[in-house]
Amino acid sequence: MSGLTSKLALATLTLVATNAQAQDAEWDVDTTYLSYVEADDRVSVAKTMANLTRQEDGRKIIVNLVHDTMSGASPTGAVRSNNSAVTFTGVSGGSGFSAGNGSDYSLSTFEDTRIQAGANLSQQTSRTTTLDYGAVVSKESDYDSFGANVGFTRERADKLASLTMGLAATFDSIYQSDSGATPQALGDVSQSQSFGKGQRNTIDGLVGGTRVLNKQTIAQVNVSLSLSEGYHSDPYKIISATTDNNQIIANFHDSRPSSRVRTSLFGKVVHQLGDTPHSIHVGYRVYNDDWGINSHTADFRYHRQLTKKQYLQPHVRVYRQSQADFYYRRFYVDDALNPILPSDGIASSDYRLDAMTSVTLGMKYGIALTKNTDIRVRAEYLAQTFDNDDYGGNDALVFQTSFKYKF
Amino acid sequence: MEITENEHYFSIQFRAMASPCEVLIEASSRKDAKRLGKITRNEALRIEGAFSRYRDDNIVHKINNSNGEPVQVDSETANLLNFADQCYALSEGLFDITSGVLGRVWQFDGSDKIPQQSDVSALLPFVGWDKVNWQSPWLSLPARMQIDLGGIGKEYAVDRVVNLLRANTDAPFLVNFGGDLHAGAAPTKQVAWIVGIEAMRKTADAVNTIALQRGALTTSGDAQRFLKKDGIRYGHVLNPKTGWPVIDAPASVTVAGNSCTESGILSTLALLHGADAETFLESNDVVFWCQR
Repeated sequence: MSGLTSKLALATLTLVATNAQAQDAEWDVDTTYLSYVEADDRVSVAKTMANLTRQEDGRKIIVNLVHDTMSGASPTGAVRSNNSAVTFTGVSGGSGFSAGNGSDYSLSTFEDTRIQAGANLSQQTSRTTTLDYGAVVSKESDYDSFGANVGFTRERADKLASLTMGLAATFDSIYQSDSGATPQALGDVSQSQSFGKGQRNTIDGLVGGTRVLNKQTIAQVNVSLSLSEGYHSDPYKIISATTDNNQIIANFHDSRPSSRVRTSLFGKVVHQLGDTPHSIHVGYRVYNDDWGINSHTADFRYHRQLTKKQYLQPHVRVYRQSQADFYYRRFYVDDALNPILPSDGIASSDYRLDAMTSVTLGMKYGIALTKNTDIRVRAEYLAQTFDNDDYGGNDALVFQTSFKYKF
Repeated sequence: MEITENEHYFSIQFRAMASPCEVLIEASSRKDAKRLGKITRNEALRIEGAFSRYRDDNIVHKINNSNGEPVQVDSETANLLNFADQCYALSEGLFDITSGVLGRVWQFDGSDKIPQQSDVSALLPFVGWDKVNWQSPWLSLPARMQIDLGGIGKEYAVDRVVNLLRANTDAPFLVNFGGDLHAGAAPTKQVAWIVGIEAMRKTADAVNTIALQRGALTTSGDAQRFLKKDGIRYGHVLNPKTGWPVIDAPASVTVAGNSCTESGILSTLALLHGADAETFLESNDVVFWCQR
């Protein structure tokens, strides 16, 4: 019976202390306000999020609400023209492209509101297994989405390792906000022929594992596969056909493949520094899709506990992606000034499909004000450089304030 | 609930868990004492309701009437069962929450009605935590077995109340449920909380007073619950392995510890060691007072 008293003391501590927290089911409310502003006022987003979490015996319910307002001007992909300063205004992505070659379609102004609501239920089914179900709907003036997901997690009996599998289905409907329609793929903007809403269905699968490597280190690996079919184009994006000296001859609508297969591999290690409360988080993601985009993301965070209640977390993220196979900065024209279009009819000049490097530097500060309240403040600076896009680069600032309260 | 004002503290008294319950607290006002008293009583009644085996609307009833079917328990019950599981292991089977069925043949009413060995033997197949399948949060209790959390419930309630009061006041207080007590902090208006140990038998050195600054004190003993036959006194503490009362146990064992739950287990285990109670407590470096 050696060590009886110390073992008993430990067992008692577990009993009495654990229950002090889990006595009654409580709602945790976590609200976040995020503002994203691009350097030249191109796009600004104000995002308000609320997460309500209720944890009770072996069960966790999360209700999530998001409200976004987006405004600004986004590059359409069209070549910048000196002919005029016309830009487009509309709820989300510019309305009614007026006819006439040579107009500047290169920026479209927009203003939109998005609301999203989701719920997730996670139910412990045995000592080592948990089932998750969830659904989410989102609505904006040019995009409707509905998704559902299921997941399964199994922990090893000693809790040192776990395996997660997840499956999600998403159904999207995409259209131009003013007309409710989608333009003909690779159609000439000046003759704008329209079709109905674009539908896209996506299935995502994920397999992941975590493992405690030693007292200070935990590692996580995820592999995911995503298959989608349907309308993948962006109804607002435009490709210009120009002469060598940059004179626009015609503009065409975006035209992307009708399916996409994406795979990604993600690894992360969290290491606690010795006996200190400080930790480092290193993550790496490799992504690949059948559109020809490969990307690498390296993410580094250092969690510095300033006092028992305050922490500071510097953050560096570096991202590099290759361009899509069908990315064209522009189409060229032949001697008769006829645009030379790709033979497979697939093309996009969306800057997001361009080869790109992005660096993020950030700092997060968190403080627990009371036992039931904590506040987090995050500031990030994002610098993107595009290899081909006219707009070359993009700088943005993100400010985020979160407030968490336990009822 | 009764509140009385003393020189240095308020005393709040009520009944719960078949015991007199009391909180001594250096509250700033009667109103504050009342507020904290309500918190205490609500928690005591909640725990009594949730874990008493004399009710038919709680998890213990559900488990005891599950007929061998697995029952999913809530997290608080799971913690209590985990704790009972650990105590069973640490005590090498002496502390066993399934031993309550032995009460069917043992009635400690001060008489000489000792059951037949055959009656005791017939019950032993239904005693033993090792026969239970406990995989949190699932418990499968074989048919005709029973669990009883009474052996830890009151102590647990005291510790829970201490945590609750600490979260609700800075005033020093002492919680005492039926003799299991826990001082949340040393008093500021006197040197210590003065706790008397009830005299079990009328011997000269029986009564002790203990000056308790903080921490817990619990007392286990046979009180008035015993049988006596042929000059042998059978106290109400049963050895779950034999189904028989422990012989030569001290009349009372008082143990000091960090929490009521912890010292309550130690005082119970000491009684189960019978004549070796003091040796057991000494070898485990426990602070204790025994009355024989």
